[in-house]
Amino acid sequence: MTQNEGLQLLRTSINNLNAQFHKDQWEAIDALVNHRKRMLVVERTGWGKSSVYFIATRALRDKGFGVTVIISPLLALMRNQIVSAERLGINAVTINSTNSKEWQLISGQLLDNEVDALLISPERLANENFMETILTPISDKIGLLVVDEAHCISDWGHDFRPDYQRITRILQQMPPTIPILATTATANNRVVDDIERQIGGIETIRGTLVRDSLILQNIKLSSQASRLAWIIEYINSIEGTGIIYTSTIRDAEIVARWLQENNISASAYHGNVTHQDFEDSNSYRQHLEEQLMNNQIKALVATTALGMGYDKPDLGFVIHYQLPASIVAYYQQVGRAGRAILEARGILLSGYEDSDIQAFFINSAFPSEEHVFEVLNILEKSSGLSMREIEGLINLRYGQIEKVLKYLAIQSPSPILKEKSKWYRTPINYSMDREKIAFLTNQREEEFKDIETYMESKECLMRYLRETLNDTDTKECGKCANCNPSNSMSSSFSHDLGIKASKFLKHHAIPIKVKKQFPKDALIQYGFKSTIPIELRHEEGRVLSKWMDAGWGKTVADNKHNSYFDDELVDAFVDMIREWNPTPMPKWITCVSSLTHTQLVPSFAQRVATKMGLPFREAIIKCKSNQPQKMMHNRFYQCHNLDGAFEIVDIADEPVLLIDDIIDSGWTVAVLSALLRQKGSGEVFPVVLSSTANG
Amino acid sequence: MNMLTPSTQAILLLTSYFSENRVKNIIPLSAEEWGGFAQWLHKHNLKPESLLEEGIETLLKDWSDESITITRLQALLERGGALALAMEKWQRAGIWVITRTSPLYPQQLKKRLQNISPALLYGIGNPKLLNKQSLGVESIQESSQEISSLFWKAGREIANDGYILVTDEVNKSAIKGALENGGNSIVFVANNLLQKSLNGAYREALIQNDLVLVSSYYPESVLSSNNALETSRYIQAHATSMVRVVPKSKNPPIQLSLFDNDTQEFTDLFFNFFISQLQYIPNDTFKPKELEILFSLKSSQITTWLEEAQERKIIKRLEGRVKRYQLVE
Repeated sequence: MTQNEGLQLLRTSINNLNAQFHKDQWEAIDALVNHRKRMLVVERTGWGKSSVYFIATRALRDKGFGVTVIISPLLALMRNQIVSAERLGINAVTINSTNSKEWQLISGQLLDNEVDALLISPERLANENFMETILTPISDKIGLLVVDEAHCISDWGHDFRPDYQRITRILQQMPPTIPILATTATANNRVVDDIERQIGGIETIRGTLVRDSLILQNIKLSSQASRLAWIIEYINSIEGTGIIYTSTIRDAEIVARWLQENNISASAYHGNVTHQDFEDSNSYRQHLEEQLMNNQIKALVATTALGMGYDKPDLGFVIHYQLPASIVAYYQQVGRAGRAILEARGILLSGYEDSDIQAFFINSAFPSEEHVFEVLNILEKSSGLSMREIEGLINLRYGQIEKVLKYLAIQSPSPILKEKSKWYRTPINYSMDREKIAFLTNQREEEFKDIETYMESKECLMRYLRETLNDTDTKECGKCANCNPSNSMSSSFSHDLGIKASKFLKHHAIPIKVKKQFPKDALIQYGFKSTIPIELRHEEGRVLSKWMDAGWGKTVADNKHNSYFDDELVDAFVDMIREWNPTPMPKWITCVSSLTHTQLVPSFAQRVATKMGLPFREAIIKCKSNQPQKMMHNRFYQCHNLDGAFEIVDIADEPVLLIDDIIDSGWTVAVLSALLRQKGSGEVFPVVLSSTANG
Repeated sequence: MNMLTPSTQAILLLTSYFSENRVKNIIPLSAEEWGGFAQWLHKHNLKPESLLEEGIETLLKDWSDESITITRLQALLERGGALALAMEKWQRAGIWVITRTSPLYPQQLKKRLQNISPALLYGIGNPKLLNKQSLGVESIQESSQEISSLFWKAGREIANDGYILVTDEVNKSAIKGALENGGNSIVFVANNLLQKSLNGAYREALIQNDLVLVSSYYPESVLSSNNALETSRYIQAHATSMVRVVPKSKNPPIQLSLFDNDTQEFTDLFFNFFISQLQYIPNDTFKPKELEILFSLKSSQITTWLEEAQERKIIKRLEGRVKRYQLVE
């Protein structure tokens, strides 16, 4: 293809007869199409990476080459990308968990060579079914391979994603017959060098990171309440729509709810987010992305799950509620704002909990050696086990087992292999790469220190970021809060808002979801089968706080330590129940009993009953001393530990509140509710002081 | 992890399948086809990896073959995506691949099979075993307790004599016999190497480098009758000498052949094993016919062997048993 032919395609694709290539765009296309090279393209969002791979796809397809496979963490192609692909006559499809019903249709189209570009997420590559039925059959004829967010290939990348290790190894085995395009918007020299070292024969094209429209500002507000108040005080004064990033799922939920309560249209966006109107998390997330894209919502309150590749040209602001993990991560997130508008805000808030949160993430990034060998041990003794079977054999949390399996499965060679839903031990002599884990852990700690330093910086903030990213152009921006203080926003907020936020933090009960299934064979003494009959299930319940959190969590923890729950907790608890107003309204109260702390919960429950004017009955008797429930780490053991431990006496056939102090997995209330209902009580509403569950 | 060399990539693309889910009309070159084509490349100063560069039409302008067409070669070479996906998975499971030019490739196969020695060998476990001198054990199947126990002993004797057992996966008892007595084994696998590598019975020996599973078929292949026949050929080509068992319905129940694989003559490499078996023969004395059937020997071979054995002063180890035979004669 000649440059002129390429230019015609560019003009067709963006429907602009006078369009010219951006710097280096043609060079990249030429290298891929005419020389079948491997290219690493480091260019800011909006430079036109998709033009490069769509024009290359068109040219390669015209020459008779196979489908272009694009691996990207995005859930779907952006609408503007699909339109420009369509203008080139490119049939671009995506396969993800939201469209599994169409897989067969798409698979047929792929095999008939009717698809020009296939977009998949990195996680797809870990899905056996997808690999076997979709990707492998077409892999006999791949024309071009595109890997988006290629900085994840590097160990030095801020965003170490296990699935990219697999991609890296696939790229390493790819013969030079297939051109490869790796793209990223954020990679410093170290990352670029590392990618070049790992993917042999790759050439790099690198542009500048300039984002002229962005006004950066850092504001330190120690308490969560003060940051919530600040956001409400100023969010409406910032033009346009944007993203508020939080470090945890729970904070995303809290901030979103706070915004909603203050009449600001906002939704939480994270990996677990669901909505009753949507089939699954992916489809709901896609809906949220579109809402923000079309400015139907002021802000998405998101974790890093809303991340890579999200390209909204007129994004007006990015606010960080908490410090992100590194400067590179920060630049990548804040760099989404202001791409095609004259002015956008990037506000970095920081508070007391930041270092704790990041330390938790860093320290829990890898499974412990002990857990790894526990899992390997039982696999060694077996001839293949499903996830559920593993759970029945070792007392580790589902999440812990999953973490071990995920970590081991991406090693190469790996001590385990999954074949048709069962895990096997491979004949590989395995020891954990402690050196690498220590290296990565240390790396992350350093990176977090860097962003803490950036937070305090008095220099030009944009230049600071660009220098860290080894950008060639590092002049002062003249716009940030340090360059031009008159551009900056005040860090103060109204006293009333501060109080309101502080109250809000203490008033957001967490729902207890209804359990529908017990683990198989876990409750043999009670005779409960796997599916819990509807008439034995409890109703949705409430938890007052998250253990140790900024609301009541700290008080609950301190009180529990002193073996007495104070009356202020009784008041807050009753307020929560009244506000919640469950129906049918409970007519009596009971509580979980214990052989070790005989008075702690009953005394609290009695006071709650008195305050609510309801009778209290000690309907539940602990008849067997078992292990503390917190020692049980997965659903099978948690349920099994309860089998035969309680007896029900003295019930009333009316709706009841079932009170406990701490809830983790929720099996205790599920089993006790089933027992209460079996004995003839009315609906059971579990109410608990604090939750230690993860998330 | 092992990065494949461009040469190995090219040979993989030309000679291997990568999955059951594949484009049906693209058929890799057979060992024989590849042998001929590789010779031609060599003669024209071309290396397999040259085929990964652009413009193979020009490179191969002097090549013409009715079955190995340029179109077929091109379609095979386009399967780079399939190669990368498959190799990533297989290497993750610990599987390696070697070509004829690798120093790890068993030289015996090259020497005896020449052009039809497999272009590639996939394997798991200790590849260094592949170039050690081996004795082979082979049967149609382990159909009876008797054969199992016979083979376990064969494995033990091979281990005790310091040889490596080469066999196929049917002869589990022979493998056990060798491994349980401190020996090593090479097992030629006719299909589905990946799945077989996960078999718990092999795991410890594979981890301890006492065992290697090796296959000329891609690791997720399903069985075709051809695979089994070729596997048998590879075992015979690898082994210096063989014990082969053919179950017989009549007495004696087992026919045992002991052959040198080069000369196809009777061999004393299995001497100890031969002796150990004599005591299991039901009659107190042997008739010549019986020995002939039992060990597939010709009368002349028995005589020669006994003479040679005598010369080498190993006749004493016969513990008088063969003398009984002589008495009868």
